[in-house]
Amino acid sequence: MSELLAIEDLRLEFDTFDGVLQVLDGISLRIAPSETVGIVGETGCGKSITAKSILRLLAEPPARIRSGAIRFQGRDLLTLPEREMRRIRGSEIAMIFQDPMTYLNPLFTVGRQLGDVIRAHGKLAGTPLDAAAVRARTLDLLRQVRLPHPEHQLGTYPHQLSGGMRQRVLIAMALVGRPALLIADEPTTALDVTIQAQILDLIAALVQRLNLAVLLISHDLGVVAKVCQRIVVMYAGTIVEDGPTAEILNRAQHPYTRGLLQAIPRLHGGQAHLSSIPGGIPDLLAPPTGCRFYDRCPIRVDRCRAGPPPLVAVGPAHRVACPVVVAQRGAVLA
Amino acid sequence: MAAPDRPLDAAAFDEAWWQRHGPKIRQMRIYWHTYRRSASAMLGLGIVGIFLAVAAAGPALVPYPEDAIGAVHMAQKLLSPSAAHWFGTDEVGDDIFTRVVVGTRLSLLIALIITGVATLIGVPLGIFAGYRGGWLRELIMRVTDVFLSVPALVLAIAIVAALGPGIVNAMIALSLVWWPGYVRLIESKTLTLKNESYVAAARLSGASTARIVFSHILPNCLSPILVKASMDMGMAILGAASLGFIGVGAQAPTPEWGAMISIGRNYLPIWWWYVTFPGLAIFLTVLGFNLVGDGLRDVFDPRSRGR
Amino acid sequence: MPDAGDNEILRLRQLQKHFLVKTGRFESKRLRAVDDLDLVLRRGESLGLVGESGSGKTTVARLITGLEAPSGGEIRFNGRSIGQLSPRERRKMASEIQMVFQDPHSSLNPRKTIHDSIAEPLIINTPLRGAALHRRVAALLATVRLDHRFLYRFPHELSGGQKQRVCIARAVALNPKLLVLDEPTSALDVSVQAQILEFLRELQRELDLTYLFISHNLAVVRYLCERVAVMYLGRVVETGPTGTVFDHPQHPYTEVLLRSVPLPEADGQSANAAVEGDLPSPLDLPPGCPFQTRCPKKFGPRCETELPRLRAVADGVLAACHLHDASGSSGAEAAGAAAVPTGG
Repeated sequence: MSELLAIEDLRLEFDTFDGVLQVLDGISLRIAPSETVGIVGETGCGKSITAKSILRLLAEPPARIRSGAIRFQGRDLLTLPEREMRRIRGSEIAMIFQDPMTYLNPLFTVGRQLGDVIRAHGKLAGTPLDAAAVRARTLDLLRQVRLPHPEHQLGTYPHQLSGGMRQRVLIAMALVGRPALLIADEPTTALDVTIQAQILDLIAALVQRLNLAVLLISHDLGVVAKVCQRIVVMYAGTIVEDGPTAEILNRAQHPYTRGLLQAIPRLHGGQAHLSSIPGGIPDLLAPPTGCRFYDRCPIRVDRCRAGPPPLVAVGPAHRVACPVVVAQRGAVLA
Repeated sequence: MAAPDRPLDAAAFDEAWWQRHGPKIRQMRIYWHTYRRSASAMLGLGIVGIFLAVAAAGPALVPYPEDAIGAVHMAQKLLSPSAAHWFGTDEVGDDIFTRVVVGTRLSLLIALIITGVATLIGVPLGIFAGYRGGWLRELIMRVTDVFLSVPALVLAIAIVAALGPGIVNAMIALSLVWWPGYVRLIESKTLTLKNESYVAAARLSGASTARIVFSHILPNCLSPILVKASMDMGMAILGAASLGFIGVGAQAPTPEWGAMISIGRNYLPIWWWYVTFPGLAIFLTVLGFNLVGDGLRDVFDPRSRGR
Repeated sequence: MPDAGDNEILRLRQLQKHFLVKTGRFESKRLRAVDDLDLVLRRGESLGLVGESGSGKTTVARLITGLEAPSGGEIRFNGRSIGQLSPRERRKMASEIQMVFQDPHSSLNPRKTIHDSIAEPLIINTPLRGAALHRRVAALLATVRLDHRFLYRFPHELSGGQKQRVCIARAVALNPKLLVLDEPTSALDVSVQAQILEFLRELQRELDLTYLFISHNLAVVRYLCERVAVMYLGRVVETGPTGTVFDHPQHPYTEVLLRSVPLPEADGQSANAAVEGDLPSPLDLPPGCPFQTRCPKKFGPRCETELPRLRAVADGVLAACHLHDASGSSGAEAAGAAAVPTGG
């Protein structure tokens, strides 16, 4: 099996007061070992929900998986009993989130919290560790995440740390089980720019050193561009484009991706106007039957309404879900 | 100026009543639907509704109205529950059902007055303390702390002892004991609200403190006030009944539930109905109000709902 | 400092804001949120104020709008000193200086309709009532390109972008001259942000406004603002025309900041993070330059002992760094290594 994770045609609904939201409509995604993949999209596109579904972190009501599979190293995670999922969570697949403060217990020191995770993993793996071994591993992990003065940090409490340092601690906790895949959901959104750069560098270094695969979720194309080899663009619960980073940034094909790129202000200037995409996301209670981007699309034709557009390859590993673009470029057998 | 989306003529500003009030009505309906989902909340509402109906119409419909004010029928004393006397009779022959029903209006009224006065004193003090801060806040909070450190009922008894027994004095005592709870609640809520951006925006618009308090802070405090007040209704009934039970509240022959239990206690266990029915009334009203309060809290703060 | 002209709408001189923070039972330390800040804003321009957390930029906004009182220094608006105003005078400023806040979700009272939120400044400050008031509110809503069916809705029924427009409508209701915008698009999606930024540009022309635009997003500031001021730990460390400052940064912190921004470009990423370490605690600032603990261009004892002052270093650009101070000891050699352009 050459791929680590494969999401196959995932469809997910969500019960709300107003009705049933069609949140994910046929998401298919692959991650190879040691590969870094980024998912970008705006609010409501479903990127965070996709990430959480992998680890089955969504409460089953009100969320409901209608169909699809999530294969990790060959096994379908959606059919695993909860007991098995618990073994996978935190050891083979780890996840870090946006706001580090809410994921750390304010009552315990960093050393204690990290130590607890290490001890739990030791028991799970059948190799219980004594206090000295736990301490050694704790310090080792803190060094790996480049936390300054690790011995001193063992005794600090979360509120004494800055946002960047807390996120490093969480990354350390994620690495305890030596995961094959790290899912990072907006890990730097709440951090300052200079600290963000440090954390992204750290993630890139960890990828190299530990052969870690990373699935990075962000609304910021710059963040994803810095760390990821491949970018997946999501819109309203569907994947509209995916491909190598350079392809997406320089030769984006889907009208949504292009619209997004044109709306981003550039640090080095030179933009007379920022073009924005008119309209808003479709109502997920009653989404359109065809392409979900239809109402806002500058190149739409009647055919687009017929049915959901399939992802078709238009370049090496570069797929687009747009019949108009595919017709223009010609499909390429990847 | 940029061209507006639609022409603005005078007629457009006689907005249809529906457009103006539609969103508020929709909001109320959402609250109602959320409330309805909880079986316990609906049960509470049902219980409270029944008691409200009894309080309103009961006294006009009772079979023995003169028994409520202390008529004496020694020949019928301590009869067990029967078709003629659904809850039996007491030691002077009065129909207990009649007395319990008439006592409902009394108890609910007492609860309303106590809760109302406590709110009227406690909420303004809480907002004042939270918004103004400084030494005034310290003063208010420390006085509140003193009141809260004495067990409520003990303090109430002490006040009634000083004022003399009677239902009015019991109400005064309980109101004085109740307001500190509101101060605490509202002061902390105000502290949070003070830092919201819309309060800063109002200050920047030149709003006076009065306007900010009445227009921005108070409306956003209403949900916790409503929740606490509903629960307090039940607690106030219990408080009044407790004072009545001790004998410093309502005096005979007033048909107050607590006073009835106080006397009925002496007739246990043989003449069990004397204590049971007023006691049941207290239990049900307190339960009803507590369930309503819980239901309201779940409506206003969805996070507190168990998932 | 460049000449103060009468096209100056705002001038901050040696502005200070200190907080006393209790650090022990009998000990408190001084937190210098804003320290010796000098800034000039010209009529009709957009000045970007950038910095990270702890830089003091939001405090500056609160000082200018009167939400906080300064601990020292001077704020001059149209020549008048407005640092210590009585509450009544402060209320009159409502029609001169206004603010749009960062989080659109807490900027509107959830219990008030959109109409009531926009009408509030008008009710407080003008005699408008009844139909005339409704007309003005509807007109303001039209100015921010929102359909008038939103008038009687509640904030939670609107999207983030729509809420932000409502906040802008409320802010311009009294025709202010100066609009302070505190991260107005940070909570918004990219495409909505683009709409709001374009709209802010048009609005500035239509209503003849001056903007003080606070943001941590340098690209947004580049797009909207002709001039920029970079803040670090309560002081301005560099200021000048945006293009010049971003293309040829003169202060090491500006350089570091620019290099840290992840660009949505496939090449041109800096290989390593530009700076190591975290912000020093603002309660325990070392004497000398506030940036010395992380500065890649720190060159000697002068950085540790002497506070650099803002001085002119190039066309219209001021920077506070000893590297540019020829009168200093090692200034000359180190200056050669500075001022490396970071692309364009």
